[in-house]
Amino acid sequence: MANEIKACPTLEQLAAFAEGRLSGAERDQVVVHLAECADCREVFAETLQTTDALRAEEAPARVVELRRAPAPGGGRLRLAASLAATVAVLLAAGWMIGEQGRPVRSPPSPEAWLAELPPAPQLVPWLWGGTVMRGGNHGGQSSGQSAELGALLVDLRVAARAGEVAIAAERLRRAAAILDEAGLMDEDVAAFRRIAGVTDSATMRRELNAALPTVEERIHERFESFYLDLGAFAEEVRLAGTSGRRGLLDARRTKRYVEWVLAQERQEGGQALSPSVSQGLRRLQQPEVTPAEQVDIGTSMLRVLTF
Amino acid sequence: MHMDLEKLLLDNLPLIERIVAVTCRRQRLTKEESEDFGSVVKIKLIANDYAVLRAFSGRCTLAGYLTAVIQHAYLDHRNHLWGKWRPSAEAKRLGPLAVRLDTLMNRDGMTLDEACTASPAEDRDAMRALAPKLPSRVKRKVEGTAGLESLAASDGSPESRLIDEERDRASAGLERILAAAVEGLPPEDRLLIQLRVANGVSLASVARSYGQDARQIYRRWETLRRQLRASLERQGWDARQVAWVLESEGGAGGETGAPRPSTGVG
Repeated sequence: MANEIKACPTLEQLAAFAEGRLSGAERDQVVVHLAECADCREVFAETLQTTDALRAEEAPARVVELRRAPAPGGGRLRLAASLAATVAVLLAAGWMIGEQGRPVRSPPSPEAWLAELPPAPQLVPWLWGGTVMRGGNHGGQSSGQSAELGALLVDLRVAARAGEVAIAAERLRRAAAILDEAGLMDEDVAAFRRIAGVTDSATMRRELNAALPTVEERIHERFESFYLDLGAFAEEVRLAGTSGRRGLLDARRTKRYVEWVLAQERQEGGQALSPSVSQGLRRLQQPEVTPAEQVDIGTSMLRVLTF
Repeated sequence: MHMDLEKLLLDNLPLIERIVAVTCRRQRLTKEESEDFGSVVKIKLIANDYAVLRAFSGRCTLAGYLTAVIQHAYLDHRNHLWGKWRPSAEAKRLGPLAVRLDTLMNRDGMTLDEACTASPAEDRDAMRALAPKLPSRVKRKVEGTAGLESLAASDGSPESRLIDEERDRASAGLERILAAAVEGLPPEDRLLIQLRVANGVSLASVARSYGQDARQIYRRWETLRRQLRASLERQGWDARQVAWVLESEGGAGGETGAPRPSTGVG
C-alpha cells in the first residue's frame, strides 16, 4: 500500500495527481510509480472513481429530497426553509468541487428542475426530441449532433419518468442513429436499440437507470461537451417555459452556466456562438423574460444548434 | 494544534460520512459492513493524535485528500478481513458488483444463490447476469437447480460454448495480455491503459489527472488501442481475444448495475 513501500507516493501526492495538480519531476515520478505498483494504482483508481461518484451525487439529488420532505408551516416559511437549505447544499457542493462563486460549465441536470415542474406526463406533449429538424443534421457535423443528443437525453428522461414507453423508445432510436453515424460506440448503439424494444415502462426505467450513466459518460468523451450541454439546456428552457414557471432561469446554477457560455465567446480561441444563440442567452438573463419567450428562445436555439 | 485538528475533523464530518457512504455503495457493502467500515475510518482519522489530518499540507483539496485516505483505508480494511486475496482483473474491470460477486463465489466458495441471498435484493438480477462473465478461478461448486434455472449462461449450443471458452481464456489471461501489451510503452501510456482496461476508470477522469482535455486523451487512447491490437496480434494472441479485451473498454464501465442517483430517470 501507499505507505508500506518506501518509494510509494503519499496519499496527498496521489490526491494531488488525481486533481491534476502535480507537475515536473514529481509528476513524472508518480506516473512511473503508478504504472508499476498495483497497490497504489488501485488506491488511485478508486480515488478517481469515488470522486466521480461524489460529483454525480452533488446538489440535484438533494434538492429532490428537500421537495419530498417539505418543512412544516405556511408557504412563506416553507419557501424560506427550502431556499436556505438549497443555498446551503449548493454552497457545500460548490466548496466540495472547488468552484464556489465561479461560473459552471454545465447546466442543471434534469433531476434538479423536473422536481420543480408539473408531473412529467404534462410535459410530454411539449418534448422536442429532434423531430423538428430531423434529417437536417447529417454529414458529420459534430456540434449539431452533440446538441441534438443533449436535447434527446433530456427528452428521454422526461418520457421515461412519465412512463411514455413509445416516446422514450423513439428518442432512444434517434439517439442510437446519431451514435451509430458517429461510429465507435457500437455497444451503446446496441444497448439503446435493445432498451427501445422494451415495452414495459418499469423495466425500461430500470434498464435506462443501469445504462445511462456509463453511456452518457462515453457520449461526453466522444462528442462535444459544450454543445451537448447547450442542446440539453435549450430543451430544458423550452420545457420549463411550457410549464409557465421560471424557476429554472432563477436558479443560481443556471445563471452561472449562462454567464460561462457567454464568456466563452469573448475568450480568445473560445467557442463561437451563433448571434441568435448569444442573443437568446442574453435575453434569458433578463428578469422580465416571459415563459412564452422562453419557449421561443429554446426552440430557436435548438433550431440553430442542430443545423 | 490538537483542538484545531479536532475542529477540522468535526467540521468535515458530513463530508467524511458522505465519502464513506459513496465508497460503501460503490463497493456494494451491506448495511452491517458499511457501519463497520465507517467506524474504521473514524478511528483511523483520530489515531495518533489526528496524524492523518496533521499530514495534510494543502497540496490538494481536503475533499480529494480525504477521498484518497478513505480509499486506502477501505483497501487496508479489505485486506485485513480477507487477507491478501484479490478479486480477478476481470471482476475489477466489470465493476464493484462483479468484485463482490467474485469475492463471495471464488473466495468464500458460495454458490450463486448463496451470494445473491447475502446481497441486497436490488443487486441480485445484475449479479446473475454477471456470474457467467467471471473467470473460474477456483473449482466452482455445483449449482443447485434454482441457481441453474436463473443463471444467464450460454444457450448450450456449440457456438456459445466456444465463445464462453474463449472468453474464459481471455479473462484468465487478461493480466498477462495487459503486461505484454504495455511493455515498452512510455509510463503515461502504460498507466492510461492499465487504468482504463484493468480498473475501468473513465477517460474523463484520466484526463483530469493528466491535466489534459478529455478529447486529447480519447484520441491518445484510440491510437494506443489500434497499436496494441496490431502488436498483440503479431505476438500471436487470437484477434478475437484481443478485441474482447481492448474493445469492451472496462466492461460495464466500472459501475455495473450501479446507477448514479443524480442521473436516474425516476
